[in-house]
Amino acid sequence: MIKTRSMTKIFRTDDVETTALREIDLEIEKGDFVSVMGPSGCGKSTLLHVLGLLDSPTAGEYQLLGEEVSGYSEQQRSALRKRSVGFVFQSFNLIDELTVFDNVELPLVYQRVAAKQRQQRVEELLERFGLGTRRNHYPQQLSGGQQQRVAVARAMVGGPQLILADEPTGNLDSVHGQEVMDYLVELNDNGTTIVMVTHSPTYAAYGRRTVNLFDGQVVADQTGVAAQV
Amino acid sequence: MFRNWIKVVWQHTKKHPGYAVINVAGLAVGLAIALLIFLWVQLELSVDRFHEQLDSLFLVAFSCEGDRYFGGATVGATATHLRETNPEITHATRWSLTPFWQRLRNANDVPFSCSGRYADPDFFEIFSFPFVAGSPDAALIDPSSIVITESLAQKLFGKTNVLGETVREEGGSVFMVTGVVADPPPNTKLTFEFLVPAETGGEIFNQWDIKCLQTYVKLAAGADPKQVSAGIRDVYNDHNPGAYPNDYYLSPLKDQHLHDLSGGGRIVYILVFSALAVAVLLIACINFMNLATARAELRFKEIGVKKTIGATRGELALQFLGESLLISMVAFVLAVVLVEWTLPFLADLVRMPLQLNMVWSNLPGLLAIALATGVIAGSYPAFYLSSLKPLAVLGSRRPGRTVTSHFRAAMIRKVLVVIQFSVSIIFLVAIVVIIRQLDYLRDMDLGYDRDHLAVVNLPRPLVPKTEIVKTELLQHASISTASVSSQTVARWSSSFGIDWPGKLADQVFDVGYNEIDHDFLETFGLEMRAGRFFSREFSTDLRGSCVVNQALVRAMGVTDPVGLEITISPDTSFESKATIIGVIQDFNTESAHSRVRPFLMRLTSTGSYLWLRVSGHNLGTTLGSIRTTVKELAPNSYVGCRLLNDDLGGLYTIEKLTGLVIALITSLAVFISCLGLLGLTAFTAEQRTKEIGIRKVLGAEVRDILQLLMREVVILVAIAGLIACPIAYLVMSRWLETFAFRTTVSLQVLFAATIAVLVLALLTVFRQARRAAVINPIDAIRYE
Repeated sequence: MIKTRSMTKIFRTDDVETTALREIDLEIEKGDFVSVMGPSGCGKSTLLHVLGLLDSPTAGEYQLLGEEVSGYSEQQRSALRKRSVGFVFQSFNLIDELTVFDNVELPLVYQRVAAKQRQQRVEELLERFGLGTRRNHYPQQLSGGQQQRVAVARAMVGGPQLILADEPTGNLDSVHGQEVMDYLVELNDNGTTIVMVTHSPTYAAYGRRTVNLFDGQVVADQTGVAAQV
Repeated sequence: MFRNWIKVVWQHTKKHPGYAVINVAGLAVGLAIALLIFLWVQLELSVDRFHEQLDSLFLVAFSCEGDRYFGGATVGATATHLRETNPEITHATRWSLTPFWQRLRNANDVPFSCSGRYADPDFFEIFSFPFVAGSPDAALIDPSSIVITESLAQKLFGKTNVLGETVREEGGSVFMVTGVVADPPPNTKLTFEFLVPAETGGEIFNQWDIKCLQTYVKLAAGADPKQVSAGIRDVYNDHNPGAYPNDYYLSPLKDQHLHDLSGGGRIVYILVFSALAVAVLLIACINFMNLATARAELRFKEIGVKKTIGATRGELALQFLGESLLISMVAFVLAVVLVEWTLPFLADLVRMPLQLNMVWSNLPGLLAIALATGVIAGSYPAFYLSSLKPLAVLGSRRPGRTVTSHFRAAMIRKVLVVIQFSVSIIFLVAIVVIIRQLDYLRDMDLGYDRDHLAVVNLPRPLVPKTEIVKTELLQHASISTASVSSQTVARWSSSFGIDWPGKLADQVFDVGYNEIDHDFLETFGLEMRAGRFFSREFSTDLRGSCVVNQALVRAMGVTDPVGLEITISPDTSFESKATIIGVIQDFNTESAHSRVRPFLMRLTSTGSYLWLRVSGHNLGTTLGSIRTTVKELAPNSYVGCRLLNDDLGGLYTIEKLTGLVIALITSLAVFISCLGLLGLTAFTAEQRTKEIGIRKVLGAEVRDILQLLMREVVILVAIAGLIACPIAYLVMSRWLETFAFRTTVSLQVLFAATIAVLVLALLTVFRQARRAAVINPIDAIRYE
């Protein structure tokens, strides 16, 4: 599913050069659930952005779904991204001006899915996430947990093979955090590959594998119970 | 506190100079237009209102055919008769319709060309023109007296105390200066450089049958103008039994400048332009409101903190109002500069003596407009911003983020933008319709070939010698035919009633009249519809024949008019008989506001209008050589020579002027609207950065984002079009109805105006939208 070879990301401003990712070698199989941990500023989010095709690596190779994407243009990345990748963010990133339904529907709109199919798919998902009665509400009218549920629903509505979650529980209390994790696990059980960035060892433990980053480098890569430390 | 305000305003200006420029520039341009129109309206409203006892001053006017036609010219005998027979009319004066030019020579025999009028001694009892030397009582009593203005006194004698000095007229008459008056102010229509007694105008000024003068009267204190009007109604008719009836009535002097006797007049344009001024100001105010509320979020913290430490809603509202007043004052200063720059241009355009010092003498009024603008522009932002709750502003749930207030503010902004674009579209339709109508009038078939038709006003010495002038001019290769007429063809001048055998009692109508020579038909390229035109083969044509137009035949209701004998001006001293020898096609003798009216022509061999059919090349040179030839025949006279088309253009001066002013205002209104839209889009795009980022993460491409940002503009302009088009259609259709010959307000025009505004709006927002669409999504969502 994902294969990187010496993948490096450097941010350059006028006179400062910051290496956010340093020669990352990473392989993630289809159907895996990987937790990415590490201190603030270690490059977790950057890794997620590059893996999610929001950004391109400065050097090295990156294969996604068998395609070498490191040299892709913005347009190519955008096309692949909307087909294959879903995102969940810490701060939900819902659009305030759109209703719950509209927010969830949006990825399908950009995939040019026909209106009738869109409606069917969105309604199905809203029911499944217990948001059926909230379809016409605006994000501001929902609790944090509900908002993140909407965000998860939006991430999976297009049927992506990969979901990238950036601290999805960071803004939630434990009950709602638990709820979101349950959804992610369910998705993973159904075959969706998940890469999740988190600070919390508890939530990291939901993954089958934990990757630790420090200063832009992979310092540990553990599978199973060992990952829970 | 005041210092605090200014500091806050200054900080915001420094941080967001673009918005400040848009705010101030929009308001300044809007204010400048409003101020210019205000100055012009002020001047128009003041015309001839400075006379003392204004309410008892009247013009004697007449109506005919039960208020179908109106006129302000009366017969010469009116003034004396009214004064002598009506005790409620204390003073009356004759007054020449137009000034006449005369060369006056001073004691050293140096000639000066100056304009004068005829008036009676009562003139100075009725109107307030202060005397610099002499007294109004005796000024015009002696037939050889003359009253001159201060400037003319300076010109003729180099001083103003010139009582008793004499001036000699070109013809030889000598006048003695019996009064020197201050120059008539720019806001009077009673213009003159000198006045001579109407007694010297000749017998025509005492007759009952020729309407050649105006009559002004002053009523006794307490007299009821309505009663006096009713009393003088039949004065003319009693003296002209059987003539076409003219019912006299009193028309207030204060209405003369603004109101036409038949209704309408300049007042219509004053109302229209005042409405335009208000509309433009409104557009500018809307910009201000839109930007202020859109940027409200930038000030939430300030508002929250101030409220928390005790500021009341009123105090905050006052602060925001104060800010908008401050900005409107800055805009006002800029506007005054703009006005100073453009005033001479406008003065030229409206042909009114608008002067720079009017800005200063009207300063309170202008300031009031600026203050009102500041209050209107600041009212909604003040109301909105001061109503925010402190906790809501400071807390995580910002007011911009709560559902209702967020949508309400956004909705109001959209409504305001729709208003702006509606006004712009209406303006645009108006200007297109006016231009199309003027084009239509220019290309309209007048019934005769008016291209390459030149007209010469023959100087008086040449009037009896027209044949010689014609022969001389026809020697020019560029002149093919020449014809004379007693009156111009481009205007409806004299008229009378007619009788014919079989005339019914209700067939009372006015017949226009002109005297022309044998070559008229050929020179004008007209055709006969029945009978024949005047011919040199029939010597009887000169006395007892006439040619009429089709409209007259229709009005008479006769089937075979040729050979019919009619009586012209029955029962008057001008009564005469004439046999209709032919019917000429209808051709337009008036402006296109009226239909072709009944018309009759008789043969003459002399006349003061000479019509020349000239050939196409170098018309300027041809006109020049015509002038030279005529000048050689009458060396001391002024020779007026121009193309008929230019003359006809004069009939639509006010329409052209309106078109030009509306075109100007339209472009500025559209400009201000786009300026506002630019600011608003920049702001919205800025505000929606996060949303755009999210959309891009979810797969939106650049064109999706462009569509998103521009779709809103399309919707707003479409709504504006739906509102504006019916209004524009109704307004412009009503305007067109004032023309007897007119174009229509077509759907295409309405559509094109909407599309034009849409394109301009899209062009305005495109750059901003494009910039927003290409942002890196990570930057937009990274920091939360």
